Amino acid sequence: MKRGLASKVGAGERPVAAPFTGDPVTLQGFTAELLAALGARVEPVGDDVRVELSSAQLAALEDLPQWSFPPSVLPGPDALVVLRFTFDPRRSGGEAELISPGSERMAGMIRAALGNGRLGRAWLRAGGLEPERDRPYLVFHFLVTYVGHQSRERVLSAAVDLVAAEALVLTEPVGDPWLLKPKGDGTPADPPRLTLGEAHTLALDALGRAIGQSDGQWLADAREWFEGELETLRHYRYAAHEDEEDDSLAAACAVRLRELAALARPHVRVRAEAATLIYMPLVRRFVGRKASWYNPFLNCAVPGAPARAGSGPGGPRQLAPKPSAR
Amino acid sequence: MTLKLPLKTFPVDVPILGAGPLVPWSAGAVQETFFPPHESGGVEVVASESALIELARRMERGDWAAWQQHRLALAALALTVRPGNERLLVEEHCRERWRQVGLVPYPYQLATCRKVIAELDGRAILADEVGLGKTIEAGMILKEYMLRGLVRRALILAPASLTWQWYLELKEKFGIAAALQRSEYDWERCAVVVASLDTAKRPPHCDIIHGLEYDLLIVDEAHKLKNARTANWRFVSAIPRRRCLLLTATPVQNDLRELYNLITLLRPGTLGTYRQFQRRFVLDRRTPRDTSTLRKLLSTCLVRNRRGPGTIELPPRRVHAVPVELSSAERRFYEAVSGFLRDEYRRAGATSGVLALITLQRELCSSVPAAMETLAALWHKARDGDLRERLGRLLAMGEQLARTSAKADRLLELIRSSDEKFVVFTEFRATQLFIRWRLEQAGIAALGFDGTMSASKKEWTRQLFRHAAQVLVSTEAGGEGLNFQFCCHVVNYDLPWNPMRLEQRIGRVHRLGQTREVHIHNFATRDTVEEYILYLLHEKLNMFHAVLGNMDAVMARLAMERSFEQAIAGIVLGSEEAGDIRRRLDRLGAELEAARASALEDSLLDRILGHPRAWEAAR
Repeated sequence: MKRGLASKVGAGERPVAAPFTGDPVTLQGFTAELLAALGARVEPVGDDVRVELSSAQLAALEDLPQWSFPPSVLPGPDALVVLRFTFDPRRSGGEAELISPGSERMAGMIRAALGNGRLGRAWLRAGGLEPERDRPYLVFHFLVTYVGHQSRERVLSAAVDLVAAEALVLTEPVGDPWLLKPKGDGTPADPPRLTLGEAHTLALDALGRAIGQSDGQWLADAREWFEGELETLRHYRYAAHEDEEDDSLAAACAVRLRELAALARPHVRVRAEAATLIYMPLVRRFVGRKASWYNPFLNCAVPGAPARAGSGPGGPRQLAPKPSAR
Repeated sequence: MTLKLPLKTFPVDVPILGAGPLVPWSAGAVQETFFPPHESGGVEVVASESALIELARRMERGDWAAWQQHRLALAALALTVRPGNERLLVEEHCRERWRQVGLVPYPYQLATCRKVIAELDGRAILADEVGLGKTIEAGMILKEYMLRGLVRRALILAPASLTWQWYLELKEKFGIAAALQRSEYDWERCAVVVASLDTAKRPPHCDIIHGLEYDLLIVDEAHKLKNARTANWRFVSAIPRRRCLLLTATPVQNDLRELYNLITLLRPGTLGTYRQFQRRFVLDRRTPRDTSTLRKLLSTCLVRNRRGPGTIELPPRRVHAVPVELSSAERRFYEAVSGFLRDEYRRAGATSGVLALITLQRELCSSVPAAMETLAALWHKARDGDLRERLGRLLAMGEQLARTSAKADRLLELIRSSDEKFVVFTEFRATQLFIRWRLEQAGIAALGFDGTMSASKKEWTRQLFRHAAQVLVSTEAGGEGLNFQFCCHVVNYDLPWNPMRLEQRIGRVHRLGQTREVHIHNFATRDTVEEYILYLLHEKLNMFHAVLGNMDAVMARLAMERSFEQAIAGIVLGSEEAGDIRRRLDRLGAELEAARASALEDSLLDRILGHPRAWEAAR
């Protein structure tokens, strides 16, 4: 079983899968790992979790700029928070905060986690595989909101080959036998050729194509509903003119049109909430005497690297961004 | 204009300010901007420019997180995804809060919330019967949208008397920190604003509101928008909003056009033009046709819950008549003033002076200090020497009674007999002050509540009453819009002559959230007009037992040339003897009874919706 952020899963809570890594995530497991990462003292008390936070940790969790308050306003070093993950109608809430989707505390923790780790990088490796080169991909993790008749959300990850300028949506998380390594092993890497803006545009292309294929029915339904609403409005405006309807009704029509454009026009709104720079291994394959590069993770041939591909020994180290100060 | 950030990893070329925001989230601290729509695979993709800039800035700084932190961020992203509409987040999110405030949401309220969000796209008339908790349903919908990040800026328009109640309910039951609008700066500054419709529609407020875009607009008492030619309708129809809830128990009362106007305000075109609507659905203004088609159309934008099994079952009411015997001095004063009133009523006829006489008659039933105020005013105005002399004599008689009152003694007895809290209602400020004085003299902690108090002072007083005082003495204007479910004793120190006002009084205590039996103590002085009023309200109209609501609809059906109060005054002051008064009150009671039956049996909306008759259920 995949090791993830559900190790301290609350009873009955169904884990969700993290994008790209596929880690199973529960509210309780995520909370425990985040608080541990912050360095807070966490102690289980019955079904609740007692958390001791320093003022800096609390400020990080609540997104408060520490310097904006006089010291007396901020809680002292022993700020105590009691978290509860399951609602029990027989137990009084007391001091405990119920952690649920959408709760302030949960939102604060999500904000803190995203704020600290929005950008990451890793090397993809599999046991027994000895790559000849690494190909840099930028994986955008998009929060996708389907706007239209039936609104919903999902996370989609799109990987952009920063050398060949090709993009695809990753449908499966990284799983066996693949491992994500936080450090490289000195394998030479191709230098990226795309700007962030170009990579983003390619990712959007791939995203649109993937959604068009996988959610065609949603799109068709949303369009039908939208057209129906517009048609009703068009008929009404025409008839209102014929019937010399009151002027004030035309204003209501204009407002409704704006509402429809904003809310019911079927489209997807996407936010690149996080990105992973991933070095994927390439191996050379020979067909007859002709060699081509092959990406075993994506299971596809990839266009060749440019002539002066960072083949020098220090290549990947130069290309890889410096780890952050944190 | 573009922002060029020299990056070690990638040169960044991110256009900034190239396109205006498609979705201007101006209520947040940072306004999110979006790129122009991008078409791919037949799908329109609108990407957040702000999010990409954030990534670019971090790359520029070389802000690459340790892998463990990045994993946590990806986990957080997975938790950011809100579930589909079939699951209500508000239910999970507010459970603890609801338990603390004693709110148990009814299944029909949750179902309404689900329907409005999942099926009606946040655009509905909530037309539940009075007392079924439309405010709670609207609050749930607002909170659900807020939890889903779909509503950041919301506007709640209500009658001025209800704004404070909205503010409190949102805060207590949903943890929504709404702002009560006080100045023209609040519209833009605050994300969720509660305001009076009358204020909002006036300049400069209306111009500011029309320049903003609301994610959700809620209009309480939306029957005030039934006429498309009114300033109210025009103002609300021009407010840019994405979702809209109109709250009214009576979207249609006397004319199907009222329903047409409300639906058109919500979703123009749903019912066609008015002429088309007339041709298809109107036989005459109160008789619909092709109701099955009309019902289908209404189901796309109207939700109505009615009383019955599975809806609210309020605890019972216990009614206690508290007869009061006047002392001989009080009796002499009552008879003297009543004689004066009858003489003057005959003399004044239907002139404007009759209103002062009606007020004096009502004050006389309430307390001597209340009557003294009007007597003094009449004395000051009187030019006729005889009249002035007669008023002077009455004033002198009243002054002797300034400190005594059999009714107040009876109230003291009642309050001392129990440790419970009491809300004492009176129509008159002078009576309110007198009662408070008497209670204070007797060492009973009593607070006052009246229409002159600011909203915050009222709330402060309400909290004091809840935690520290036994009695709250309130005028009707003072009690409007605030609820006291923590108290279960209502004292009608004087009886209003209008059943609507009586219903409002009882409704402050006997409403959603009340868990205990409610006791209503009706003070009525023997052999005075009060006995007749009690007879009319209690015996003829069963006002104290029936949880009917919707008295405004009943009163609207009562075809009267004058107001209800004037009709009663006409009977009381214009009759020669007691038997005559009772006969005429019986007739009036029968008319009111018929109007109420008609309002319940003949609810136009329920006929269209095919709902069962409410009469039996309401009984």
